[in-house]
Order: sequence, then C-alpha cells, then structure tokens
Amino acid sequence: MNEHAYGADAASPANHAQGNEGDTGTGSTISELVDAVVSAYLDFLEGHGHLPVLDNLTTEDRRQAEALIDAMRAGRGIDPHASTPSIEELLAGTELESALALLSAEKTDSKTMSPHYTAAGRRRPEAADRGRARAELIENLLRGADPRVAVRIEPHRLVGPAVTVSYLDLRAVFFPIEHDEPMITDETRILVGRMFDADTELEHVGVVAVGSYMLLTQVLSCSDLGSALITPSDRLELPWPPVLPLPQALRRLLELSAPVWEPFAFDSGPREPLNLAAVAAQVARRVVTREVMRRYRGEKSRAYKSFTGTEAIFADLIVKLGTGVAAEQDIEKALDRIAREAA
Amino acid sequence: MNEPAKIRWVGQPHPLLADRARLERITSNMDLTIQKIIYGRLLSEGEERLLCGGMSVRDVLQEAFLDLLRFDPTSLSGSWEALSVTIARRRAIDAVRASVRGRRAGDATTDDPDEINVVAFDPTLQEHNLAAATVDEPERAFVLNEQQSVLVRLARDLPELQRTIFNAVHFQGRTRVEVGKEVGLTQQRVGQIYKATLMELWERARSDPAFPSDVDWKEHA
Repeated sequence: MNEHAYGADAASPANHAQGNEGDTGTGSTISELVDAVVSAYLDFLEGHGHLPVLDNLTTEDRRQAEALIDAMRAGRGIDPHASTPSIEELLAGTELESALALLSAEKTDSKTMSPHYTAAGRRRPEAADRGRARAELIENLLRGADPRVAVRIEPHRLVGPAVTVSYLDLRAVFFPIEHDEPMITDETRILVGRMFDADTELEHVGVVAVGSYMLLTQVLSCSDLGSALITPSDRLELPWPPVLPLPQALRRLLELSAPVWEPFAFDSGPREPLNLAAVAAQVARRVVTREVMRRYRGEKSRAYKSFTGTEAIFADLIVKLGTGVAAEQDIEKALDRIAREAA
Repeated sequence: MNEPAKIRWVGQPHPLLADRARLERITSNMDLTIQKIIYGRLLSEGEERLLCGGMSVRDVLQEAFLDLLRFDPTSLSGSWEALSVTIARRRAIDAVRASVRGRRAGDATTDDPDEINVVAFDPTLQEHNLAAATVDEPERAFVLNEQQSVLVRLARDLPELQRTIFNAVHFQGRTRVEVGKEVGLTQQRVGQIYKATLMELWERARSDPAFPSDVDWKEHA
C-alpha cells in the first residue's frame, strides 16, 4: 500500500457513510465506513472530490479499504475483452522462435519417448528416434522460413536423418549435431567433405547445433572446405558465412545463392510454320553448351562434355516424338542408350 | 576455423523459456500493464484505442516481451516479474509519448493557431491514469495485476447488467453518470451496483487459487 496515496486532504468517509448511495445490498461483511471510503474514492476518480482519509478507520477496516482502493485503481484501463497473444505469436519471426520450438520439441520428446527404461528407472530414447525428432524439428523451422523452397526429411547415407532443401536447381542438406554450437571440428569437416564428394549436385550443407536454444547453424559450401587463403596483409582469411539461427541461415543462403531463371515467353511475331527440327536442334545445342560451361565437378562435367556435337540426335528424337513416328517407349530406349554411351 | 556468434543462452535454457507457465503469467501481466497505460490514458480523453501511428497494445507487448527475453539473466538483480513490469511500463510510455508528440495541448483554445499551441503531450500524461498505472513498485504492481486478472475472469460470469456496469466503471473508467444514461439507471443506482459487485467479486477472488496475496508480493520482492 502506498501510504502517501491516501493521506491528502480530508474527504471524510463518514459523510459517505450517511450519504445518498445508502445500502449497497451486498450482504457482505464490509463495514459502512469501508463502503463510504469506496464511494469517496469513486468520487475522486471522477474528479468530484479529494482522496479519502483513512485515519479514523480501525485496522481491519483500513486494511479492507486499502485493498479495495488499490483494486479500483489497478483496474482502470484494462480491456476486459482482450486476450493476451500466445508466446508463439509474440516470438514469430524473431531469433527466439527456434529456441522456443526446440524446448517444445524436447518436452514432446520426453512425453513420446519409447518405453525403455534404464536401470535407474529413467526413460532413454532410441538414438534413431532422437535423430528423427531432431530432423523433424529442423524441417518444421525450415518449412516456415521461405515459401519458395521444398523441404523434406531424407535419410542420408553419411549423417542419418537429415533435411533436404531445394529450390529450382539449388540443393542443400541440413543435419543436426548434438552440440551447443555449430563447431566444425576436424571430424565434422571430414564428414561434410565426404557429403560433397558423394553428391556432386549438393551445393550447401548446414550443420545445425541442436544443443543451442536458437538452433545455431553453420552453412558451408564445397569451397569453404578448401585450403585457407593468405591475403596480402598476411592475415588468415576464412570467408565462412556467419553462424545464424536456422531460419535466418536458410534465408541468407537463398538471398545469396538462389538461382534466378529469366522469365521467358513465346515469340508471337513469326507466322511461318514451325520448323520443329530446327528449333529442337537449336534448343539442344543451347542446353548442352550451357551445361558444359557450368562448373560441375567430376563425372557430371565429363558427361555433359561428351554430348557436345550430338545435338542433332536429340533433335531427331524430338521430331520423331512430335510427329508420332516414334512411341514414347522408343524415345526412352534411345535416351537410355545415349546416357549409357555418355557414361 | 571461424568463431560462432556468441549467444547468451547457448548451452542452457533461458530460465523463462524453460518455465512456460511462469512465462505465460508474466506475458499476461505485461499485457495488463501496457493496456492500463495506453488505454487508461486515452479513455479518460474519450479518444480512440489505437495509438496515432498505428501502434497497438499488441505491438508494444511484443517489443516489451522481446526486451525481457533478451535481458541478460546474469545481470538480473530482482525478480523476472518485477523486471517485466518495469520494461512494460517503459515501452508503453515510450509508445504513448511517440504517438502524442506534437499534438495540441488539452487546454489549447479552439481559435488558437496550431503553430503556437502544438506542444508535446508529456505534461498532460502526468495528470491522468499514467500516474496511477506507474505509482506502485514493480513487485507490487505485478501482484495487483494478477489480482485484476482474477477479477476480469470472475466478472465474465456476472449477470449482464452487473457485468456492463462493472466493466464500464471499474476497467474503462467511465463515470457513473455516463453509464447510468447508457443503461437507464440513476447515478446513485449505478454506484450501488458497482460497489456491490466489486465487493462481491473481491470476496470471491480472495478464495480463488490464482489470487495472489500480499505475501506473494513480499516473496517477489
């Protein structure tokens, strides 16, 4: 109770005790003097009087009067119809969103753990279940990070349950490590290097520290694992991307690396009949040339190079398919043959 | 190897995020604190409930809530509850001040040109419910808000007339004359019903398990 609040000019509750509001009809044990204090305070709140003086009240009455006045004062301005937004709503889009999600997942884990007990009587989750739960957590957060990407859990030969993110021809794999920071130890570095070696179309790997409460993530590309560069100033330069909470790490990755495919439209100008063979040959030549120039590594690069000069074969296949001379099965056989030769 | 960003809570759960029930109580309490400063100030003037510039109570609450969670736990000297009240008050007052800066003073006459009477509203703030909403120590204010939460909940079960009068007088700060005109009763009768309802709810609230006492306040302090 703030004593100073009620010690001001006299506005005797006794006046209100005999005043015109009379019986409140509560049937409660509140005394008339307390009732009068409440009336006087109501007058004060409406700007008609002074703060009531409580000096002449008994200890018990004074305690009651102070409690009611505090309640009247503390209630003003509250919207009784409002509802407080949930914690999830308040944290949406912030760096704490992932921390909350991880906590929720852990609580869910503890409720859905397999019913195996240790000697001490405590439950222990199966490692595979835990790995899957981690992957699901990562998947959930990535799914909301950017509407353009496709996100799915896929078992990875090297790291177990992992989450693959793809957008057009961009592909990245995020996998969890049981650590509170996405530390790239020598062991992790070798593991990530093997992931790149095993999948030449993989462009980025995200190492997610599921022990951190913000799911801190280190995104790496193949070039990040190469030799360190020495700059002219002799300072060791390690141009790794920053460690970020998982959703932000994906957004940064997309911002910097998402492929941009130019919009296209059919040319409506020419009225000549379509020369399918010429167009097919032109398209095949353009596609093969472009793919040969891309920086594929390993077998993929050699395979595209072997297609150079064979564009006419593709054009011929397209013409046969377009004119109905060949069935789809024939085309598939022909493509298989070409692929085998290229391999 | 690069150095990962240093985050305060790395490796250990934030004490509030790890205790969801407590965090929800604190959030609800911050919501009330902000409502009282923003709505209380505006209702006394008969103005709209949205702040100028489009800020809402929810916007302010989100900012205050994030401030609270970003506070370094190792720097906490009192309780999280007290800190939440302090942060909520500051955020709400900042929002009100930002929204009224440059508006006409309340005592400006209508024929005065704006370029003379356009002043900050801050002095006026002190005369209204802002003072009432911030007079208590944070720990005490937290407990008072908890008590109001119980009253809000209990008031929902009141008969319609009682509920209308209680909400209008107690929460919205409207005068008995205004409410009387609205419901077709005299000022005196509205006052009687309000007092009766307040005392009835107060007695019921005191036996509610969620109702905090002064002992709780001293524990928070």
